[in-house]
Amino acid sequence: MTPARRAWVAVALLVVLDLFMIPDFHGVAWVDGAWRGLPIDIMEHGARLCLVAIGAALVVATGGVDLGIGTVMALSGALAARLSAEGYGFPAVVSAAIGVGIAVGLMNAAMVVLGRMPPIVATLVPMVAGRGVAHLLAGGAILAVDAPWAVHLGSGTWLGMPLAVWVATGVIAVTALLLRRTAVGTGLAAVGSNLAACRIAGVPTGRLITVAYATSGAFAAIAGLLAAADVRSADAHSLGQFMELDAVVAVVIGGTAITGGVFSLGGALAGALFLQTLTVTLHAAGIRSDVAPLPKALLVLVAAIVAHPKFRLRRIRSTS
Amino acid sequence: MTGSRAPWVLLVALFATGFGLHDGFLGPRAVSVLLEDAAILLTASLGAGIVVAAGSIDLSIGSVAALGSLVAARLSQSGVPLPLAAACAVAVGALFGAGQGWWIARCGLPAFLVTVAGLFAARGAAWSITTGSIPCGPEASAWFDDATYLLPMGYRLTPTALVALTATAVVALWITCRPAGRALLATGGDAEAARLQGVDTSFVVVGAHAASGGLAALSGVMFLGVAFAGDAALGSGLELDALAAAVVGGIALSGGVHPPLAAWVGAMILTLIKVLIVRDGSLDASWARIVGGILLLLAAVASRRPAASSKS
Repeated sequence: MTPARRAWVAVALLVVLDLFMIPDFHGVAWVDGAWRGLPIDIMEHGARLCLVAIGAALVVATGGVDLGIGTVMALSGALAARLSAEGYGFPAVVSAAIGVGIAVGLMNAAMVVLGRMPPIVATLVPMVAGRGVAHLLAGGAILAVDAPWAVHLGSGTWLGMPLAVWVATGVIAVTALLLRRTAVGTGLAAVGSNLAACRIAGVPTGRLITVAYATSGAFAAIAGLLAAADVRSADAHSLGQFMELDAVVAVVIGGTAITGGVFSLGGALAGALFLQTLTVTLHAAGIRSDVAPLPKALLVLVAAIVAHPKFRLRRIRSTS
Repeated sequence: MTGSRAPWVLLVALFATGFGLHDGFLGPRAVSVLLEDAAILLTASLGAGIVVAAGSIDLSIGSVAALGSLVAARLSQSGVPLPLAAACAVAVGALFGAGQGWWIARCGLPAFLVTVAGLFAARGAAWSITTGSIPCGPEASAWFDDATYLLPMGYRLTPTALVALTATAVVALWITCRPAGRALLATGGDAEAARLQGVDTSFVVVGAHAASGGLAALSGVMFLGVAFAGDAALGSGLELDALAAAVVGGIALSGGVHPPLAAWVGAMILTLIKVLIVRDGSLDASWARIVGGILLLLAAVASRRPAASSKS
């Protein structure tokens, strides 16, 4: 069984468990022209984690890591709040926010490709400095995000599903299609598995790595917009906090090797949904939110062990 | 060469700027406050520096600091004398760190993942003690309030500053004068080569992580001296500042390089920038983080391995 499929099985098991354990879980109902219920909530709130996890998967595939995701979310949220307060409309605000994400991604890529810095250091720079910039943008206050389009984005629905879900689905579908139809996906994995060989073989390594970081930045910016629209405010301090870690955890659960060279978008998606469902499950199971990070820690360790090259499930070895 | 001297030049320049702009910047009171301000970051960055020099990374520092502060506060509240409570907290942190080191060195798991797990685990453990804060015992509060150590010319040190400076001196001596220090740098520089020369590299990695955990917990204990309480929310993001301070001080993130006093220089630089920006008042305090990020970038560029920079 591939690690990605293992992650989907884990999601399925968790959902089945929830169906028995949580009485509200199958209470999905059609209310006022939209589906409402716990699974819908999971999808709505999981949408942004799915987005950043897909972006992170591309970066991790190249053997890198993007620690700037959380701060990009804060930056894009704060910028959107600031611009819409100054009267700019939807297209300008959204393109500016995504532009900031891409800009941070390009900066990371420049440090990694041109500066030949280890990705963990390069992306530590926006992680340290980014929130400072976001605070400046927000003027030290928690800004309201209450433009009509933002309210619609945060609580609107289309065909009965929350808009956030549609946005994430659309973006991820286009990404998956592009990776399938072009050589970019293969290129990213190749760069991650052997950079030197790729360079000698004439693969445009710099451009591929740049695409990965820029995509991750853009997706983080979209996630920031969704998060700000969801709570109708942008708090430069807490928006997207620890999101980069959650994204990496989702990616690793989904079977993308942290050392690069192998990646799975479906796996990252499964990982993100698993994390989100787990949060809801723990909450519903009455496990105090005080100790909620503990199961997450366990999960990361298990995922890391399972992803280890020396790890084999004994049963699989004997049957196959 | 210039890489190891540049942080010192910057530090002196910052002191000079402060001295030029503000009266009494190097006076007894200001220096005492400055060292007190820097103490927590300094202690945490000592640990970060050791781990990074060993070629590893520790993202759990902030959470372990919270755990350490709660352990010490809870013990001192139930009547345990402060030194003993602090020692217990440090032991908990060191054990936690050693555990992470074991997973990394013996099982070959990526340090990044293991310490992210550690970040969640230590925060969860802290929250399982309390989600709020625990005031420390009356004796400890009184002692933190009163105790100062007089130095010549009217300068004085608060207990936290004294502990932080002592820890700095011990780490610097250990790394420069002890065989263990050389084993640490050898492992960080090239683990395979070190192993072939008979260095027990997994022991070094476990030890480095234990030191980082212990120092992180110690920085949490110092928080008691500031707030007279342990806090479960303490230290969120401390690991970033600690890593930044270590790198700004001249410790290469690729491992194997640890100029003596690097963590001290880095922590002082970051603290001084914050103090100068806040004192100046015309710039928003967020600029401290932005300038810190820029310095981190410069330091990281300066500390690239020669092989990498000569190729480009």
